Amino acid sequence: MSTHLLVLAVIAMAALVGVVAIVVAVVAGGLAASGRRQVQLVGGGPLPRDPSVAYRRARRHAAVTALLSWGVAAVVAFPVGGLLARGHGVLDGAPGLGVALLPTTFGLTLLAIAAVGELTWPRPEGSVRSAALAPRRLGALTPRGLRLLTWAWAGTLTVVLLVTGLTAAAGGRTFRVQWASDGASSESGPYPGWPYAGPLIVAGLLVLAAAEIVLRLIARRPAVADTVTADDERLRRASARRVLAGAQLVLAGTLAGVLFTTGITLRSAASTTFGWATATQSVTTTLVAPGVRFAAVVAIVSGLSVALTGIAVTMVALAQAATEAGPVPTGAPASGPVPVAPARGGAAPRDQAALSPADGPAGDVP
Amino acid sequence: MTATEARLEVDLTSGIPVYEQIRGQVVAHVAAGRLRTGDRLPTIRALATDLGIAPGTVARAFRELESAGVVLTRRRTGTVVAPGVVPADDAPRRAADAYARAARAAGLSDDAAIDLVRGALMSRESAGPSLRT
Repeated sequence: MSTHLLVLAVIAMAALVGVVAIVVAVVAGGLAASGRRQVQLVGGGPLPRDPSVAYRRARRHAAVTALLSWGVAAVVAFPVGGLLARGHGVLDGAPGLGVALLPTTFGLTLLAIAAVGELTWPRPEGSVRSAALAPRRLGALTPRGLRLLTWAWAGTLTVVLLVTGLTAAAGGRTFRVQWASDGASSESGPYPGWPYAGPLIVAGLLVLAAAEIVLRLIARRPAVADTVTADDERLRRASARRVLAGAQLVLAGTLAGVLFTTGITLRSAASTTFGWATATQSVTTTLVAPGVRFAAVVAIVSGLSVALTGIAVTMVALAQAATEAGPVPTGAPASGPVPVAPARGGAAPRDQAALSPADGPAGDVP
Repeated sequence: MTATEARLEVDLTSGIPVYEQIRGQVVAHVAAGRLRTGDRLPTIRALATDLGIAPGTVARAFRELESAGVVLTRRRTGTVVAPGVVPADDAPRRAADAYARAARAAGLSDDAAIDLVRGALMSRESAGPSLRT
């Protein structure tokens, strides 16, 4: 039981430290971006282009969405996780599952708020509207490495839980070592058998699916008016980076918790002491299972590595997202994609087409 | 030149319907060579979202472009520039580019620049028949 409590305490502390670090990173990133803008203004250097009203509004919306999603998720996740951890109702058969689902609670809350942020993205305003005449590709708007890592965490989590589910003792909450063919055996727990593995696999896939849905919402949201396509895409990539940072952190946190719990239990199960009494003395003998001990070390080291990697990647990704789309659009008209610049008076489209001799023939091609 | 450089700009207060502005600008991009055969256009929904207009308006523009043979809509690839649609010949296109630069340098508005071209075309049209007779 003391081991169980230790594991829970470690997981809770790791989650807490991770969340605090990330909130600090988000705030620091936001401040850094604001600070850079002030320096440019105070320094009197020429800005590449005055930030458009729409661009400023979009950045503000993205920042509020990021702070709300990360902040509310952190505030909501711990009380809800605490309630789940008390084991009322459906979780009675799997003590500790509530704590194991804590990262998922955090992640789904974060992704839900991020989705609301995308669905309420500022609509185009004004009488003159512009849009790129090329399809947006999700792959080009999403940080590839971060997305792959998110999928890799989800896949590894599923595989690890399938393995622990299949190797758990009957009942699904302990790991059993058979020491002798005559039936001498010992069991250690907690071990993520099916009562834990099933819900956690579903939770991991839910987080992955939710992240992919939000990525599609990011690709579909209205383009920022009055700025070049490159700046609009930078804003989208920053949003995608924040979403994936959260999703991969949640999956890495869950995977780390599963690996760490499994490792601690396997280490405990790797050796056992049998004792019996004869007429004259009591005899004890200690048996060691080297394979199980090796698996324990691998699981513990992997769990710690996954946790550290997840937190480090999240902090780097959030810092990148804060600086990716700066306060001033980078796409000056001369250097960015060149708009066709039709007349604003409204007579442009037809007349502009009429400039080209190919207009007529082009329209007649079947 | 790539398709990513082509942009649409519509004026909701213009007397010209928005669908017609979209249609005309797509044709202009094709003529200028910024859109080439096989280039994909955004989906109706995406374009309507970006422009903040009703999807039906974009759909009407796309329908007209399709009936004129400028674009094709396929289930798999979406709306693409139709094969056989060719940009203007190189010489007129370069002349148009040069004229556009000159008009900008002279500070002409787009309307004024286009009026000049229309005037030039009209004088050619009126001059043509009179030469033959």
